[in-house]
Amino acid sequence: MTDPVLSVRNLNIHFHGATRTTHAVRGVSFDLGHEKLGIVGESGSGKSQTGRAIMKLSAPSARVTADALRFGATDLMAASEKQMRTIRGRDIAMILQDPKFSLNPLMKVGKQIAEAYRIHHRVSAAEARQKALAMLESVHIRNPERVYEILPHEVSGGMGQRIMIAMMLIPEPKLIIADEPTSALDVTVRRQVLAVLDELVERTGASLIFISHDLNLVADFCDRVLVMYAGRVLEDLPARDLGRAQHPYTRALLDSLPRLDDPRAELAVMQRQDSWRTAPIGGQA
Amino acid sequence: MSDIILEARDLTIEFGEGATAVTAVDGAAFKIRRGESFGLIGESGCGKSTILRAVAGLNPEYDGDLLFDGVELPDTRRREHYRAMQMVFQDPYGSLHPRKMVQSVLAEPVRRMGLGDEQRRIDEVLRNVGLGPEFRFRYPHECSGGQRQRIAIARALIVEPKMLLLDEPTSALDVSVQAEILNLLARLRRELGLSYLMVSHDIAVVAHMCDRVAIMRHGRILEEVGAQDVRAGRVSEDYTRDFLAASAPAITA
Amino acid sequence: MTDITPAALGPRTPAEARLQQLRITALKLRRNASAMIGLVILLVIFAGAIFAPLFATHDIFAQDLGNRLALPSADHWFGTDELGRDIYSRLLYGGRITLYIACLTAVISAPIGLVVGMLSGWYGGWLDMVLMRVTEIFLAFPSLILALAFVAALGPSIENAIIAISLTAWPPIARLARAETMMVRRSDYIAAVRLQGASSWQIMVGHIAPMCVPSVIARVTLNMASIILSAAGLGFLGLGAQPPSPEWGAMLSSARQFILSNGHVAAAPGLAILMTSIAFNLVGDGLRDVLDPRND
Repeated sequence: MTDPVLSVRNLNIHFHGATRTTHAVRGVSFDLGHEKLGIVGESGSGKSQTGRAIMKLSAPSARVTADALRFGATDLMAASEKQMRTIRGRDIAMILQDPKFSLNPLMKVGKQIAEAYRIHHRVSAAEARQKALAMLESVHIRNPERVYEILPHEVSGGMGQRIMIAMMLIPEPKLIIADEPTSALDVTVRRQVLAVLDELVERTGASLIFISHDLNLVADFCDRVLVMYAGRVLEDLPARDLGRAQHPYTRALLDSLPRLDDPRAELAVMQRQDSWRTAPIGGQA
Repeated sequence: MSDIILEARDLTIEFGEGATAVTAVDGAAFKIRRGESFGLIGESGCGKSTILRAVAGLNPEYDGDLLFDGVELPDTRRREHYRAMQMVFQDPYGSLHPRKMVQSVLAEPVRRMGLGDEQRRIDEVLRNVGLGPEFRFRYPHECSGGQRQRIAIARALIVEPKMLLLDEPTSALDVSVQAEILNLLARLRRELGLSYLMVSHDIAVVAHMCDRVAIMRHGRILEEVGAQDVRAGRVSEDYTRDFLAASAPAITA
Repeated sequence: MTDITPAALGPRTPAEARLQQLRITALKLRRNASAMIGLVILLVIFAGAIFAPLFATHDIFAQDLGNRLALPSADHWFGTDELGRDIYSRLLYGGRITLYIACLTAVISAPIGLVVGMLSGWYGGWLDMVLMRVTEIFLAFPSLILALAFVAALGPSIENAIIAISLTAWPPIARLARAETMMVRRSDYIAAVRLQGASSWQIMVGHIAPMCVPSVIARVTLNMASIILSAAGLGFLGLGAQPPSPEWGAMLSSARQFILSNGHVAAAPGLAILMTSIAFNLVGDGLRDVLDPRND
C-alpha cells in the first residue's frame, strides 16, 4: 500500500505477570489506508491490546515492541509521551464500549464535548459550545440544546455512544479506533449508531479500525477484515469475501454461529489446532 | 398430568412506588408445554429477565398467577419448587462463588435438599456436562468461561429439576464456546426430558434453541411465533420485523 | 488467556486445592517488597515478645539506683531508665503487653464488626438504619476519650483498656463488612444459593462471610497501628497497665521528664511503638492488595 495512514510491522506485546509472562500479541503486521478495517477475534485474541498499543495506551506491565509503528510520517514507537498526548485526541481517537466509563459523571455532556475541542484548538468557550452543538446535531441527536445540559447518568445506551462519538470526533481525527463500540447496545440501536459513525467517517475521510468479536457486524460495516487468534493475524481479507474465508479458524468461527437462514440440529464445534497458534496463514508480510 | 408445565396468567410486575413506579412487566401470559423449549426475546429493559426471576422465585412481588404443573406457585417457595425449577445465569464470571471449589458448589444443593449420595451425583453431573472429575477441586478463577458455564449448568442439574430457566446463558461467551454450550443444552434437554424457558436478546440463538418464541417490548408480549415462522419472517408485528432485519446475517457463503 | 492446570498436575483432594490457593496468595504477597519488610519486622517483634525470657538480659523489675539513666553499653544494650532498670529487657516484656492488647482487641472487634456489618448489609431497611446509627455513635467517640471514661468508671487495668479500645475499633469494620455485603448480595451466585432454598443465615455464614473476611483481615491489620497507639496512649496516661509493668506507653510517660537530658530513655519505647505500627501498616497494605476481591 502506498502512503498508508497507519503502518504496523511485527507488533509484539508481552505481559509480565506474577507467575508467568503472556505473549498477548505476536508479530501483528498490517497497513491501513483510508478505509474501515475490522479486527475480529474472540477474547484473548489480542485485538483490544493491538488497538491500545497503537495509541500507546497499553498497561504499565506491558512490554510493547514493533519493527515499525508509523502513523503517517510520525514514528509512534519513538514518540515521547508529550508527543503522544498531542496525537491522542487530535489525530487518533478511541471510542470505547461503555460510554458510562468514558464520560466524566460530574460534568454536563455538552461541556465535555466542548472541552474535547478546546484541548486541541484555541477558541473561546462560546465558539466551542457552538461547535459542540453542531457536533451533537451531526450525530443525529434531535434536541442538541437540551442534551448539551444533561449529565452522563441520564443518558441511555445508544445516545451515550453517539455522544461519545461526538466527543471523540469533534477534533476531526485522521484515525479512529473503535473498541467494541456497539457491543453493549441493543440490536436495533446498534444500526443507528453505526450509521452515524459511518456518515462521519465518510465525511471527514478518516480511517477507522473497528475491533469486535461479532463477525456479522464487521462483515456488514467494514471494508476489510483482520481475523485474530491467540495474538496472531490469521487472515486479512476484504469484508465481502468473509463468506469465502480460507483459514480453518475463520471457517470454524463462521460455522459455529447459529444462523436464522440455516437451521441446524447441532452447531459445529470448533476443533482448535495448535498450528493456528504458530504459523499465520495470509496477512501481510 | 397436564401437558402444560409452566403457565403465566396476566403477570404484572411493578417496581417503585407512586410517581416513580415503573411497570416492568405488563399483563404477560404464556404457556409452556412439557418438554418444550420456549424463548423470550427482546431488547434491554423489555422485562424478559424480570419475568424469569419472578418465575424462579427470586422476586416474590408480582401480580397475576404463575402455575407450575397446574398448581399455583406460592410467594414463598418451598424446597420442592426449587427442586423442580432451576436457573442458569448469564455471567459465568459472576454465577459461581469465587472462593468455593466446584466440589463444594455442587455438594451444597444436594445436601440442602437432602438428596444423599453426594459423590455419585457430583461425578455423574460433571460427566453429563462434559467435565472430567479433576474439576471437582478447581476454583472458578482457574476455569475458562465455557467451563464455568458448564459448572453452573451442572449445579442446576444436580437436583434433577424438571425445568431450566436460562438467562442469556451464552451471551457472555465467545462464539466458539457458545456453540458448545448450546449443543450441550440441546442434548441435555433431549436426554433428560427437560423443559426450557430461555431469555435472550439474540434471535438467532433463540430460533436455534427454542420451539416457540415470544417477543417482548416495554413489558408486553407482542406476539408468539414458532421458530420456523421466525426463520421465514412470518411475523405479524412491525417491531418483530425490525428486530429480525437488524439481526440478519451479513455473511453469505 | 487463562492458564488451565492440566488434569495430571491439578489438586486431587479438597485440602490440596485449598493449600494450593494459599500458596498462590503467599507468592503474590512475596512480590511486595514493603510487605515483606513489614513481615520481617513483625516476626522479630513477635519473637522478641514471645521469647522474652530467653532474650532478656536482666530482671525487668530489678532497680539499680546507682546506675540510673545510663547510656547504652555492653551491659545494658539500650541503657537504663530512671530507676536503673534495663530498658532492653523491659522493652521485650513490654512488647508482650502491647501485642496482647492489640491482638485481643482485633479478635474482639473484628467479629463484632463483621456480624453487625453483614446483618446491616443483608437485611437493609430499618435494621440497617438502626445498626448504622449505633455504629456511627461509636464512631463518633475518639477512642482515647471513651477509654478514659471507661477506665475512670471501672478502674485502670489492661482488660479494661482492651474493652475500651475494642468499643471504638469495631465500627470501621462494620462499615466495611456492610459495603462488601451489599455488593455481594446482588451477585448471581447468591441468587443461585437462594434458589436452593438456603435461609438468610446460611447464606450469610456460608457465602457472604467468606467474601468479607479477607477484606476484614486486611483492614484489621491496618487498624493495628491505631490500636497500638491507643493502648500506648492509655499507658502513657497511666490508665492501662500499672507500674512497675513495662508497658511501652507507661515507659514513655515516665521518660517524659528526661526527654531533653537523656533522650534515649524515651526513644527506645517510642521507636518500638513506631516500628510495630509501621510493620503492621506495611503488612496490612500488602494483605489488602493480595486479598481484595476486586483484584480477582
